[in-house]
Amino acid sequence: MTADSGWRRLLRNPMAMAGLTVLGLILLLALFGPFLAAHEIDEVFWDRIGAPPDFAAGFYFGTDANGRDLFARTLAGARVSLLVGTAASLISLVIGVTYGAIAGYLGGRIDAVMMRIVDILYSLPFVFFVILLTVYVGRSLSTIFITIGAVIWLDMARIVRGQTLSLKQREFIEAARAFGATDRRIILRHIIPNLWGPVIISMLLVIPDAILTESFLSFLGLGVQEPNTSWGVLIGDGAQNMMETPWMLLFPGAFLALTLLAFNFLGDGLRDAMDPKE
Amino acid sequence: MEAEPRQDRIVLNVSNLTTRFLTPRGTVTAVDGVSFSLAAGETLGIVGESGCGKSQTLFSIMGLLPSNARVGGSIGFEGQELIGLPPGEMNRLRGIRLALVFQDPMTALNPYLTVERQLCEVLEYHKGLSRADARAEALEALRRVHMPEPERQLRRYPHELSGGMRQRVVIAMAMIGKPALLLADEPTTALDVTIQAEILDLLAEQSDSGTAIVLVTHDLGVVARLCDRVAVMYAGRVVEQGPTRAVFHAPRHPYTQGLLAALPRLDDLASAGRKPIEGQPPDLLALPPGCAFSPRCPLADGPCREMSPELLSRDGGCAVACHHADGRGGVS
Repeated sequence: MTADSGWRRLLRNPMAMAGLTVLGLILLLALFGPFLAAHEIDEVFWDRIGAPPDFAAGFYFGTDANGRDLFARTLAGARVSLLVGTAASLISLVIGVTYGAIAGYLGGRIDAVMMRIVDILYSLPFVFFVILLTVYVGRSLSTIFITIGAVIWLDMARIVRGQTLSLKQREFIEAARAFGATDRRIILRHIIPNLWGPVIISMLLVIPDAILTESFLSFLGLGVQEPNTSWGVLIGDGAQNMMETPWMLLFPGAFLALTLLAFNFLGDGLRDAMDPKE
Repeated sequence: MEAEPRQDRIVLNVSNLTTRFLTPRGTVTAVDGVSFSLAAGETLGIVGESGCGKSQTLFSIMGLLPSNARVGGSIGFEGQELIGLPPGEMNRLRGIRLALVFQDPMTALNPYLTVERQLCEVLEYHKGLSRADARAEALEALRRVHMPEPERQLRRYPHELSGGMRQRVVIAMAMIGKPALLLADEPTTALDVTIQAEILDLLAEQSDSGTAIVLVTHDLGVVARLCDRVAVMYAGRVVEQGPTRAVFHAPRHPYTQGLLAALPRLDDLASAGRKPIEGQPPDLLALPPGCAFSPRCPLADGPCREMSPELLSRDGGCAVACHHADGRGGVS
């Protein structure tokens, strides 16, 4: 069976395993951050505003512009950012792939209507959309998920539709029809498995996109509220004081970069593992 | 192969099949009034140049036409009318009662599925078999197509197989449901000559076990080898139809004569005795009035350019659509 040999290929891929390990560590840090950090995320140290790292006092990453422990805040930010990134990639995977595959496979008028809906959502001014949602849904973390979720799958749907259109012309799809496969079966069994390569790549591209969108939304005052934080917020704050206190940008930025790198290694490994020709 | 049991079980009865495509430039009649019937264990060859409607005839029978196609006439399959059959019911027949072998085994298999999955897929569409049972049937199907080391092949992916082995898998997929009718669209065109012979033997075996086969090809050698009867198509119409031996020995339609004369022959390669048919097949959007072959026909005269000849039965079980077919049975 395909999945077994795929898993074996994935487990034998050192890059993918390294990525998986790093992601696991970051996840553990995010989950157990409060126990690891020496200070609370909202405790203000008036004598240490914008102070560099000090291991003896437990400020491993230094403090932020308000004198709070950056280590504790970076780990707390990891929770929100990982959650947003994962949720966004799952939404684009489930909704985007299904939507795009159905539109591309059925074609004709159904395709035209489905893709015009995508175009409309695409062309909505994002900020206007956000404000509208805030009015109706209110400010909370779930607003972020709904907002990001509403737009994040559009790219995936377009990519998948395009790939499906070309895949549909392949003879084995015709063959599956000739063997009595239903449309549903053809999409699930023959179209989607053949889309893994581009799907995994665009799924990974979605993660930084979502994490940065979240920081933008938080900047607008939606979603994550002080004293809670996210990597996007920390990076935004850090960037403003880049010249004087570089560690405020460096540490959260390094975490984000490391996470994205690990996701990419894992994604490449997954793509290779799914491709029987590798 | 006895002759008696064939007559009593007609599997496929196509009558006046007409397939039109509505295109922006006009209506194209790809298949124009084709009729034939086929008994169990019988093999019919459909030959003709590219674009003569032979493949569209197959796809019409399978119900695999694009949405701009309009099919008329009647396709009786095991006593059931296929034209106008709801898609769900058609799906229930496809792959299990009637199956299609594709031209190019390189593209007809899903690159992401192992041979076992490809074969079991077909069974899962139609029968709720357990995995072990489906696997056993898949193995049996590979054995029937003489696949070397069938257990090992089950685990392999299409790209790990040679062209001949892939075509065996394709035929195994088609035969796994033990269909009454096998439609083959140029099943050997994409293969090496030596592999072609093996695949043809394989098809002959399926036919001996009682499967009716419609074989579309432009290779007259394949028809001579495999088919009991042959239908020659030109511009969507059958121009000559009959027992293979009779048609090939004494072709009556000038087009059939031309096809046979265009064949390279080992015994007169030196004399360059091949005579290609002059001219091009007609544009289906702008068919000439009268006989569609008349612009290329050496015998064409007044009536040929005015009136389309009907397909009329002649002696020897043949039917010919030509104004000049009467009284001149021999090769010109």
